[in-house]
Amino acid sequence: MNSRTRTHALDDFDWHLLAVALVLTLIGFAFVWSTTSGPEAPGGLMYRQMLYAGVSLPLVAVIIRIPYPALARGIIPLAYVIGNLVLVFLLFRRTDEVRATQAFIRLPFGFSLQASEFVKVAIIPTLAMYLRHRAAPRGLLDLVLPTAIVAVPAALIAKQPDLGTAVILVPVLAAMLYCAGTRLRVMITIAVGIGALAVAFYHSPLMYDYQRARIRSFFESIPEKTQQARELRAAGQHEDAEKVERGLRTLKQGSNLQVYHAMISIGTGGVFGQGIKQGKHNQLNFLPERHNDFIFAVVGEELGFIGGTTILTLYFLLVTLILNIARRTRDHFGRLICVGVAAMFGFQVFLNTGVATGILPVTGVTLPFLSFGGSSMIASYMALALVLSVGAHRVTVLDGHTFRRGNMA
Amino acid sequence: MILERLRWLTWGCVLLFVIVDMRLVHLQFVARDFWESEAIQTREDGESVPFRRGSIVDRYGKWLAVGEIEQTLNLHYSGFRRNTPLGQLHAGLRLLRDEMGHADVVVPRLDEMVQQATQYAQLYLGMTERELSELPRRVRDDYGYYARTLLGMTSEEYRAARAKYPDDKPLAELSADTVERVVAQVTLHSKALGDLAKAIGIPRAELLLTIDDKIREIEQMIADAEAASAVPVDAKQRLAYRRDYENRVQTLARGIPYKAVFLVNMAPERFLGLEIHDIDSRRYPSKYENLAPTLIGWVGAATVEVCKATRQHELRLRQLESQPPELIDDQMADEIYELRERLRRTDYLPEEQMGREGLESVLEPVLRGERGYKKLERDRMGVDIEAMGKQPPIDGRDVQLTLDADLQLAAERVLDKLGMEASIVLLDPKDGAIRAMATWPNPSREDVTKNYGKLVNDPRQPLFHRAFRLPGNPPPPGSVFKLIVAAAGLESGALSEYTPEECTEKFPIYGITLKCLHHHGLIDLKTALQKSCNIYFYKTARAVGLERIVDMATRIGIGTKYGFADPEALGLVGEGHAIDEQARKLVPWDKKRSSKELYTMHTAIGHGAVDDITPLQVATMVAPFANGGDRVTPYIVSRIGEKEWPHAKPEHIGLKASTVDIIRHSMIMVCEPGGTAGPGQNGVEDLRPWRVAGKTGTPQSIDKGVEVDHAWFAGFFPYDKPQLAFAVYVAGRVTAGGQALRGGGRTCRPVLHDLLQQPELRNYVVP
Repeated sequence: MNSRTRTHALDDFDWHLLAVALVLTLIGFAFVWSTTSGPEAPGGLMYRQMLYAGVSLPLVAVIIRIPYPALARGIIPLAYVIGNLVLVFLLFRRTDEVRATQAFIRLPFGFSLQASEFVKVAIIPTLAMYLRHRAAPRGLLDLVLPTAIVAVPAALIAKQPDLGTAVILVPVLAAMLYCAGTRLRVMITIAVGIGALAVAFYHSPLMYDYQRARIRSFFESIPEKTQQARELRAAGQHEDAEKVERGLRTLKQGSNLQVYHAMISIGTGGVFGQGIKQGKHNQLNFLPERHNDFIFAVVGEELGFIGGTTILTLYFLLVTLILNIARRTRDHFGRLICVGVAAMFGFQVFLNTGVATGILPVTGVTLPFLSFGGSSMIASYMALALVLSVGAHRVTVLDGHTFRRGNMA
Repeated sequence: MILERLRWLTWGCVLLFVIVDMRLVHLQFVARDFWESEAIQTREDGESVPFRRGSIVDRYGKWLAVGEIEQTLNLHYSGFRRNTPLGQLHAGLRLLRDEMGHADVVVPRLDEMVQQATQYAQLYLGMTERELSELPRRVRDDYGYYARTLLGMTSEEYRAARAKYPDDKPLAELSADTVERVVAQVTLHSKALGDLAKAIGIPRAELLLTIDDKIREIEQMIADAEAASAVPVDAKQRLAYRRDYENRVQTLARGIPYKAVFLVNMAPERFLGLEIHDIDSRRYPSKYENLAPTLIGWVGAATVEVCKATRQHELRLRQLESQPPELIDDQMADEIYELRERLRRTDYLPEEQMGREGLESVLEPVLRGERGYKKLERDRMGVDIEAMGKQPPIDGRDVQLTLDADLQLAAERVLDKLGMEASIVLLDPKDGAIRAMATWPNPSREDVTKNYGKLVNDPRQPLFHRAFRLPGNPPPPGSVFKLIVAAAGLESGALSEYTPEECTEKFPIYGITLKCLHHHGLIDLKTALQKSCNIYFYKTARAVGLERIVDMATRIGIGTKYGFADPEALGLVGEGHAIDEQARKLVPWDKKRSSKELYTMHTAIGHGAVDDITPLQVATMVAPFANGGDRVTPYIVSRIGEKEWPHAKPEHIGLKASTVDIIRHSMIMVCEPGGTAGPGQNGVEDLRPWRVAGKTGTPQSIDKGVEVDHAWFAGFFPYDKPQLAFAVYVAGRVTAGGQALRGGGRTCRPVLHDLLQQPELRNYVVP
């Protein structure tokens, strides 16, 4: 309400953060090349990925020049509303798209846009806008509106069906509410509530059968079942063994095929990997979507444990640097943006790598900056640009938060 | 508070990082072996590389049987059905017939299908969504798969296209040009098959019909399997049968030309479901194709027994491999390794050939090599990407025989002309190397491979090679054996060259009368041999004694197993005591002291203790008189691979030079005027120009209850420098016209005379 802001020049621009993102993008080029190039297309989809990066970077330059509080005055709410409208439109559109999901908007020249990626980014500042001037939410009632801000687009995205992206919004909301000062007791109540909701959702008709199957299969381990089948065979209980083997087959087929091959890829990577473009499983075309959602499996196969850990460390660095900006800034709005973006990246990476390594059920989310895809790339850079903007523009804010105890840095 | 919460967020991030990284550790270190083995199972595949079966050559290196690698064109039906337009059309129509109750839709032949693609495509795509939804899920899925692949759509495209159309519209209306697309695909594929057929050199229609026939065969096998099942077959079981049979590879054409191989290998995606395979094959060069098939033998499909052994190894391996790793000890690991190697390299595969008869069968362990093994890497679609490791096959070893193929041909020609059940054996008297072994009846190779069953039941028993394996009761040597009796007598001193005896044509003894052919008068040993006087030998036999005769026969090699047949006729009824036993049994007319004496006399003219002899043994028996008294062992394999194959060396058996000389001289007298094979006697053929030395024989044996005469003529030529020892045998058989033979000299001499005139004999006779 009564805030006075003053912006400074870009003297605090966080080059490190941008550098980490760029390094990840460059690694992404290598792996998009490794997964998609062939004799007919020596560069594969790498050039397109470069084009996406080439579009993203000027966008970053533009966004960080705008003082981010100015965004809040019009663009952000507008983007949020438009985004939701587009999602609604997508739901009711009769699709003739290649992908089974209705997430794409076709553009000329063979490009397409995945609206949910952008909506995801728009939600964060919108939520931050809502939370910035308010006192810390104390009761459950205070949480209804912020939850609704997230839940409406999340539900629309989930219905697309793009469960992965919708799921990411949950920790984003949680992290932002947490940093907005919500009481722990309330947070825990919500967590339990979400758990209950998840169970309800699992059994509701909103969930597709194949999604359910994916979640179920996550609880079964292939090596364990293989061992079990062997033991049964050794004990002469062939019928039981047959049953286990049948289960084992379903763990390697259909919706589990991707994870199975992803685990093989990673499992055969070893310490140093088989070398870029040398991964057998990758090159022999076993992994569907390997340039996209399963690029981490290829990293695991071709660069091994060292490569996988390096990638994870870079992402950890990315999130830490974002949270660092959150710590440095004195503006509650900017801080919340940073937390939201950090939560988004952090959880998205966890979800993606968790799926590729088989510890999470299959959800199709991209690995930010690394996976092939224009929407993901541009949206990720836009989110990053928001954070960079928060870090670059020192905003002197005088509002209720500034004077609250413990908030004076 | 905010800062503290930010710190907690960072810690949360650390936690997520650690979780994923620990999982990486687990996958890449702890469970690495498991995933490695899974990777190998999913993408590696092995293919065996055939070996070349060892060739068989004669002593001059002429090919008798050639081992070759040839290419076959195989049909992999499940690949054909799933991946090619024709296969999809076929499979879809079959589904229409089988599962959808369109009994009127009979699956047409592939050729017809190509010609009437439009009509069939319309029929096939006439299903509506509503009709489809009423079918069992599996059928619906299959149908959907065939339809969309045939239409060249991905599953998403297909689903999207289907979603747009009302349920009661047939598939053919999915888009404006659906049927045209199908027809274009089928036409394109049919053109590819046409190219292939042209490269093979057959009309396209024939190739299509062959494929169609194979598909029908598979359908029939599935139906048979279902019918043979003890319990009613459910849908799942049917699917299992189907999968099993459809994955088997069926050979469409053998020995396809290189052009076709090239065509398929250059663009395998045009010929999905068809594969080129290397396979070892046997070729018998046309000149010697029909050369003694019963001796050389032939190859045929691996027998049920050896395939069963392979299957047992497979089962055992599977059983061992399914054990949990911690239960596998060193011994089991060794067994697993051994079984794997055996299955990979040596165990018979059902599509392999093996020697089924003759030398091909006897030499099987030598001629058969070891398969190689090619590790292949396959991608998700099962397309071979590259060979990763290769264990080269070990070719079978070539075998060189002592046989002279041309000599053999000459001998066979002579017997063909004779047209009687007979055999000629020619061997090198110096060491027993077999140069020719002819038999009649001599079936052609085509006969033995195609009409085997008929030959087995032929009363003439053409599958018996009469040089070493005689049907029924083998004949005794008869008078040829007198050579041995003479040798025994001379060696022991019981006889001398000039020992006189009188032949009065009849010789009464112990109440019976033994007979001779003629009244020979007072004769000496040589004359007795020349004229084959029975009474001379009856009389001297008593002085020589049964033991000495049998001893000499044994020394010279009668009764030795040479390993040419199983059971092998021994020539001798037994040794020592056994002979006494036999004597009592065989000469029952006087149970007291006389029986042995009569038995000895009987033996002296080549019956009694010597019985069941083969032409090969007779030729071996006369060889010592050609080479100066060394016993030889007949052999037919001279080299295996690079190595000289060891054979028994000629063995000096202590015959005195004088003994050999006397017998040799009497043997040439046989072929001179006055001898049983001399000109003017029993015929006109004169063997003197070739300096043949020999001895005739006319033993009697019982054939079908009737006493018949067999004819023998054995010896060597030329007299001074013997090149070949020979035995000519013509079997006496009861024929409709009665007894056909009249003595060894009369029957066998023209055969030998004919043989000696053959041009192939030039190397062996002195002009």
